[in-house]
Amino acid sequence: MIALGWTAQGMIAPARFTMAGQPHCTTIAVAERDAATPRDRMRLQLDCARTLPAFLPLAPTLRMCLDEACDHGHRHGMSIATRLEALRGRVQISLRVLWPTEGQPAPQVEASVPTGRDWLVARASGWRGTAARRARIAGGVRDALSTWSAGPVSERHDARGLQIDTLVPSRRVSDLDTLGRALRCAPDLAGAALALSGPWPALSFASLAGAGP
Amino acid sequence: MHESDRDVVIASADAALQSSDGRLVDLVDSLLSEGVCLRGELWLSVADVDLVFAGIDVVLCSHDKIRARGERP
Repeated sequence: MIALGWTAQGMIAPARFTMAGQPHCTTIAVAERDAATPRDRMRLQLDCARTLPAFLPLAPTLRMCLDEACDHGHRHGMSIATRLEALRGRVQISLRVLWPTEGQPAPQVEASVPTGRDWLVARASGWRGTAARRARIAGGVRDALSTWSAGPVSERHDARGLQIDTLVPSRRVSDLDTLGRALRCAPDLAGAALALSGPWPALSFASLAGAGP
Repeated sequence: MHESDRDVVIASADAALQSSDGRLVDLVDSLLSEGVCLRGELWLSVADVDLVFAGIDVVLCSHDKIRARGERP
């Protein structure tokens, strides 16, 4: 059996899931054949998040057996229960921003620049312009999101772009198009490609501070 | 799933998991390593093939093959 995460004590999940109770929480698992890949586990976690009032997901890339997850549930049950209560009735909305492709992988510099130093200066100027443009895009996304969600926000940057996740009451999912319209109209996002998706389990808000291995 | 003049795609989580749109693939890949992590050992996947990253060495083999031989990854 492969563990998917935890829910509150005494919860009942659909038949395909196995529930194992601990003093303060319940571990949820499925047959190993149904959870072979991280995406398989993520799909099953979506089912858990839809059917349970509170669900704390393990990282889908983590392949953990039921016994080990139950052991963790015993040792850190209070932390898990606290986190579950904070997540009750809330879901995650995720926004992916891909930077404009102009200037990728590096800013273009005129071949006619007279010296190598001039070329380097022009290249550095191009990079600064790229960074400024990305900062404007990130600010525009944050502004659009902050007028739609007052919930906590998780932000991650990488070479391709920016991912922003926010935790909202489940009822806000029906209002996702409003956020989509705000993003389409935001003035600073020209050239960026955006994807808005949800509801997800609270994957980016699942940290158990102080509850290590 | 729908789009407009501004390049914004909106998708449910189920649709995102099945989509081949690069933006949604990026979004899902970014979420796969989120959630409760209890150990430093994570099965990082590429194209749904599980790999494990150990230090600076990357084991380019399905974990199932390693375990079938009785070896620890």
